[in-house]
Amino acid sequence: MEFSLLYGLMLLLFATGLLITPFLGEKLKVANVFAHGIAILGSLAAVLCASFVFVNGAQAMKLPFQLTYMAFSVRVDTLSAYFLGIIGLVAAAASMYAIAYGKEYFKQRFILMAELYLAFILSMLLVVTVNHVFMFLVVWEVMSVTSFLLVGQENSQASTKAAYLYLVMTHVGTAFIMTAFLLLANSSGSMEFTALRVLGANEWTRNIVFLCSFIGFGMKAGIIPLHVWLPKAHPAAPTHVSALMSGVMLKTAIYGMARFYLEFLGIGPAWWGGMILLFAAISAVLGVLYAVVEHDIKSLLAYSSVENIGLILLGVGAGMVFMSSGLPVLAGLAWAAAFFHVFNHAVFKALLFFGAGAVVHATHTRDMEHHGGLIKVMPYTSVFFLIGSAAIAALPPFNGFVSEWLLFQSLFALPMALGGIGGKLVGAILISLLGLTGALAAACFVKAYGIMFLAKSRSALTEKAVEVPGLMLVPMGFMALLCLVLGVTAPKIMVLLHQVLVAFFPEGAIDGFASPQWFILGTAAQASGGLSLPVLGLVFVAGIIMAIIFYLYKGAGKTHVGETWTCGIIPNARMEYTATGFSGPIRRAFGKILRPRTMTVINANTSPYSGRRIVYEVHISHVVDELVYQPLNRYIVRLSQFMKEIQTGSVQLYIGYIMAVTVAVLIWSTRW
Amino acid sequence: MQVLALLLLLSAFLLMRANRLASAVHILLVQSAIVAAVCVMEGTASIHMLVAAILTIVIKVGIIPYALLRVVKLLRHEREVNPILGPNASSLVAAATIVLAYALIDRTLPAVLGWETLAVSLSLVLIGLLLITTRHQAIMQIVGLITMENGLYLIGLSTTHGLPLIIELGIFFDVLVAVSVLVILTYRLKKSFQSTDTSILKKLKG
Repeated sequence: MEFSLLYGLMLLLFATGLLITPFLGEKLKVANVFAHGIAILGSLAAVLCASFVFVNGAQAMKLPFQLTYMAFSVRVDTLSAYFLGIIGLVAAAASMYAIAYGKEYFKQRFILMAELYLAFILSMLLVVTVNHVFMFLVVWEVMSVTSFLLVGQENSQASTKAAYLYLVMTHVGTAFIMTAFLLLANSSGSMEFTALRVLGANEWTRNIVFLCSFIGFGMKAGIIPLHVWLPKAHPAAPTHVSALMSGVMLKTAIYGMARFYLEFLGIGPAWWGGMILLFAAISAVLGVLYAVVEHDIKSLLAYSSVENIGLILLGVGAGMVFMSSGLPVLAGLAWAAAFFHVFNHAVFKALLFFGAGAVVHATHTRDMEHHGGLIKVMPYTSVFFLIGSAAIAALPPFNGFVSEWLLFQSLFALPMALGGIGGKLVGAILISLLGLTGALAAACFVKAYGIMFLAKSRSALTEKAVEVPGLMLVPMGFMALLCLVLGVTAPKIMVLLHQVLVAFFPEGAIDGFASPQWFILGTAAQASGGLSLPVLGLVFVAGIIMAIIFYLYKGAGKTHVGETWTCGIIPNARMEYTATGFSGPIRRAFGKILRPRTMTVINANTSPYSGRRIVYEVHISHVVDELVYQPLNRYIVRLSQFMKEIQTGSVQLYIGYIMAVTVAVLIWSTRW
Repeated sequence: MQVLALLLLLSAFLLMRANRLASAVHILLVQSAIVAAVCVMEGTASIHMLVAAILTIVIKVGIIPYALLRVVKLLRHEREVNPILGPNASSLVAAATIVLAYALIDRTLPAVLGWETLAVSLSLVLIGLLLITTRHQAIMQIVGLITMENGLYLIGLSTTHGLPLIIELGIFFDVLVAVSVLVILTYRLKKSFQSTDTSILKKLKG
């Protein structure tokens, strides 16, 4: 089997979908199945490509059509293949989900949405495989523009605003990425990825390339303070697209960073890694804080993506610090933790978005305050959402636990690399911040699951909810299964990650990191007596078996069905714990950061004795918005006021400017 | 040769004084014909230059004036009523421009063969720009654009004795497309605003 055949098959499938779907304009049902079916097949072809590379080693090929300056060459090494596989898996599940979910959009430019969706997946698959600067920038832009249009799909005022904010931010990011790439290409004299190196270049160039690539890719990844578009744009898109954007598109930025920091830039000074660690820690903590206090389920998931990107970048930053202090095994471990979390986050975030989409599909509201009691009407969805929540809250035996565990392991070793009392302190602070993040993430998803699925229904909307169709449940079930499988087979994944990373380190330098010692509680000396993950899994299974035995032994006991005792009143929805109430303690504890503003409106016209109507609102202020974006906004407005003076709108005046410059240049050229 | 150059300058002067649209287009037609003649004279009858001259005649003497005149017929009541610079002031500025162009070329390229053509073409470019900046009527601005283009073409001709044919074809095509777009825009302007005075475009500004 040839690699080019597989890759060609993938391209061909997407091309067929893109070309034929518009002609199915009238038959929306056929178009729906066809376009998303093609997307499933194409994504599976991508997964095949990825596994082919893992079996047979890196592959490179050139497409038959070539243009000058635009060589379309493809190189899939294990790093590309890893991301290609993740994108393929998640996109296949999302496409299946889309067959059922897409029906909601039959009246809203459906064909266009399906086309954009196909182009979006294809561009993501290409981003991680192309081997040429120019092609990379082109497909990167295609990815940004298609996702921008998909964010604006619902055509409401909020989604349009979010889409434009996203468009502006992502283009600023692309400008930085372009600068980084062009500086690299300039100093290495080639536009092919395989030849991009700046090892010979001076320190300044390397530092600028580093900063540009960090800002550019960071914009896409949504690190704080460059994240403002993310919590607005991700919820606005249709759910299968949100799942792809949060789960996968953010990871293309991590792919870009990995290419730059592992391959193009080589080992850099320690402050590179330090800077990434700083922003990663801020993103993780602030991201999860905003997630906790959010009560729009899709926004909550979007903020949680910011947090998870922070976690991934903690691994990346630690890896870079270890690299610059000559500890390749630890560097490998940190990078592996980051990459593992990339996979895990893609899986469980897609799962959670699918679950949220199912709830929205059933109740037609994203506000958690209106949900509640859905476990009774949507049992399967609630189980899958619970698994996703457990995974993202890093509970064993699911996958989130493993990657966060590895992350802890590598951060524990960070003081070793940093050295000095300051370094040790920073290392310790980072570990405690990671712990804080994990705890808050757990609180966040206890809240999400509890408010949405447990207790009684809070509004009329949820009372009419029914379970979603099987086509939406199957991808959720698949993702939930994947959460478990990735968690239990972690050592296998580590071998895979070793294969991904081995090419970027000196021969044999990181062979140590894939050993099982990182999965063991305690130090290596106690290795034989420690707890390994399979053992933890066994304990878990044993616990379940014990529970079943007890149940069988004691029997079901007596069951009384009745209302909860509420001192003689019949309990109603307004007595329930609300999402806002649940996050209250956290809001208060982190009041300095979140600065909640509460507003209580009491209708004074009613008598205080018969009960007054009270409206209570809480607003969270976003530190970054207030410190960075609002002043920036004011500055730009003032600047444009000034520009308005020059821009009178008169054609003659504009051309007069040109004429004045022309004459001035002509005169200047004669050196009078 | 010098006669042709003088005729070109004369046509530019006349354009600065014209306020009826049709006469401006007619002057432009003559000017383009002179450019074609310069083409033949400079090229001393090489095939390449003949092709260029024929193209000039077909496009700049034929198609473009024809298209412009068709639009002008629709704009019966339009004329350059109140230009930013009146006819007399325009003529003075144009004269100053010619002096400036000659002085510039004299300083930089005094000994070049055909520096006179170069100076004339530079003045054509500048007068074209002047025409665009000081007139309100869309047609007058198109005329200014073509004048500029004629000047640029002559600069190319006098410095290189003929650009590669493919590039010249590209330039001609460019001009053709630009003028057709501009004619369509003028027509739309008339349709939407009942006037082709470009100062009303200020309203488009937010």
